[in-house]
Amino acid sequence: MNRTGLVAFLLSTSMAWSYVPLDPAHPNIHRSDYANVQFLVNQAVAPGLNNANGSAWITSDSDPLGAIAGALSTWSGIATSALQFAPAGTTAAVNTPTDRQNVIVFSDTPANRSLLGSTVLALTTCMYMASDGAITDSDIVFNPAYTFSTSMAYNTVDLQAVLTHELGHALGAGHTTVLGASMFQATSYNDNHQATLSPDDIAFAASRYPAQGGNGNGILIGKATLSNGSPIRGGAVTVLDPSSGITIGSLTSLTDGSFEFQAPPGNYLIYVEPLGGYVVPANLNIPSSTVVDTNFQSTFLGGNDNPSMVNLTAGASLSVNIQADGPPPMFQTPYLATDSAGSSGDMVLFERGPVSISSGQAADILISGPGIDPLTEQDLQILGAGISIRAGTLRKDTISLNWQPVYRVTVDIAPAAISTLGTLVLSKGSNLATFTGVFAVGQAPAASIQP
Amino acid sequence: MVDRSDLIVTGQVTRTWTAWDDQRQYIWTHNEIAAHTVDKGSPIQKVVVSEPGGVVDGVGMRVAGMPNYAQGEEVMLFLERMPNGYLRTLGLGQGKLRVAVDGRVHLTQTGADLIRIRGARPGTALESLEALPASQVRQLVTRLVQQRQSGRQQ
Repeated sequence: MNRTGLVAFLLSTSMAWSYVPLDPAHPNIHRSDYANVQFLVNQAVAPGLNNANGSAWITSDSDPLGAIAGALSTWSGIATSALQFAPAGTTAAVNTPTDRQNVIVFSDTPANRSLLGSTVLALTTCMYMASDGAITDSDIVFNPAYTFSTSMAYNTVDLQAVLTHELGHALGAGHTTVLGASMFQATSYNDNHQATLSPDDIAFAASRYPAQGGNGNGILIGKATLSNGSPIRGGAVTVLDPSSGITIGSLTSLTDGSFEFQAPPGNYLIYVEPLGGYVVPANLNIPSSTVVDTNFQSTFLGGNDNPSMVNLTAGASLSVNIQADGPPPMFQTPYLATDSAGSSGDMVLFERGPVSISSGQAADILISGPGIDPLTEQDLQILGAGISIRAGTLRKDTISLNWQPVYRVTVDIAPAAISTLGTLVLSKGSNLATFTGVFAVGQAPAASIQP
Repeated sequence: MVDRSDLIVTGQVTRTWTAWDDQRQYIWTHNEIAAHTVDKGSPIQKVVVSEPGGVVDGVGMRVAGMPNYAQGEEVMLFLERMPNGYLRTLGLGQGKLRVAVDGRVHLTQTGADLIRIRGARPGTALESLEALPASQVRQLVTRLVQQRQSGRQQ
């Protein structure tokens, strides 16, 4: 290896990120055309489009071009970022990754089915120059094995939510450790919360492509270590402002445990948690040959018994170090569901991933999984703006899941004009686990928001 | 996952390389696996699992969520055959279980690049396989394969 190559390698592996890059081994993948990113929409994209088997691919009641415009303007509307998408043009071109055209395509060909496989909903092929990481072409390809809609039709996937996520990849973002963010790795049928950017997604755009006058963020720099002093490599670090719900995640360096955050001004809790459960290293494109430290439990700055708050101001740079302790918590990632407040024994669909709930209402949250039982109200905490557990409502439901008891608790969610996230904290004695941004709280209906 | 797999093998990654496809359209990373056991599909000694992405001649291609392999890794794989003839890891990385030196399997990936979240439903939850001995997982797989085959014969 020549000297230049060695230096580049060392820089890339010890770098700390404000977000999870598309490829941790090549963290500099970026767009140089960020001020005017031009996407083209293949002319076949239309309501009522069928795949090659004659099955519905885009439902006839959908407005795919409107959804595409919506996704582009969502990323363009970040005040703290210089990022702008041009209005989408149309083209007869398909996804040719070497033609330097960014194309959104629904094209059912053997080549695309081979590229997509049977389970992915859509993907983005990002071509880049290995020398400087500049993206030269990014095509977004939708899977003909699924039905997409813009109407939340039953058993369909929300087109705008998927496209918003894929556009993040086209900008160089990888998957995130924040479960309710648009850049989280998975979605559900009839769920469009990922069409809205969370503060975590916005932090990526603002730090990768800051606005000309600056992004107004502060910077947190630090290092996560185990109690024996060794670095935590590949730990998920989160800053969370409980009063605003702003939740931003990143990874510690894969070599020395350092981290660097950009976040809007606020009063933040900071914690480090091990990858595992909902998000494992491969979800973040961390090579399987890379060592990731997971033998510890979620630990807050200042300790879990009395976490410290850090006040971050615009333009300031703060240094914080977190020391985490083991062992990993005895309970596993829970199954979660929501239901009407106060109900019991209902049929509900459990998810292993983020759960969407609307603000301005009360709702039951259902929790189940190995190690969860027995559960008391003292074991549960939800960190987020306007989300509170109603005292005395935790109870065992009459249903069970995989032979595990199901617990219900009623939460009250204040009306909110913007989407926000809630983080579940489960603790039992000295065991503590965090499920960052697992509750995606949608905007309240306009009528329920106080002027 | 057993139903959707064309091939289920346990083996070791012996070689990894990247190349353009025949049409010079996409870059693929190919991973050669020396198969110790085959629990579904025709007996075979060597398989090549291909995933999109990689770097060739200074040009990189990256697709989020694609599974990756390291030379020397012991793995249990659930593979599906693509229209272009390539074998790919089923459900992206969900079909790749790493076999640790103690013989236990570990999940390498949960849902990936907007894979649809699977809620709780009948069947064996993938997560329940975590840290089970590979021999036990193979028994489970073999039993399911046999059940499906006898069901088809009836």
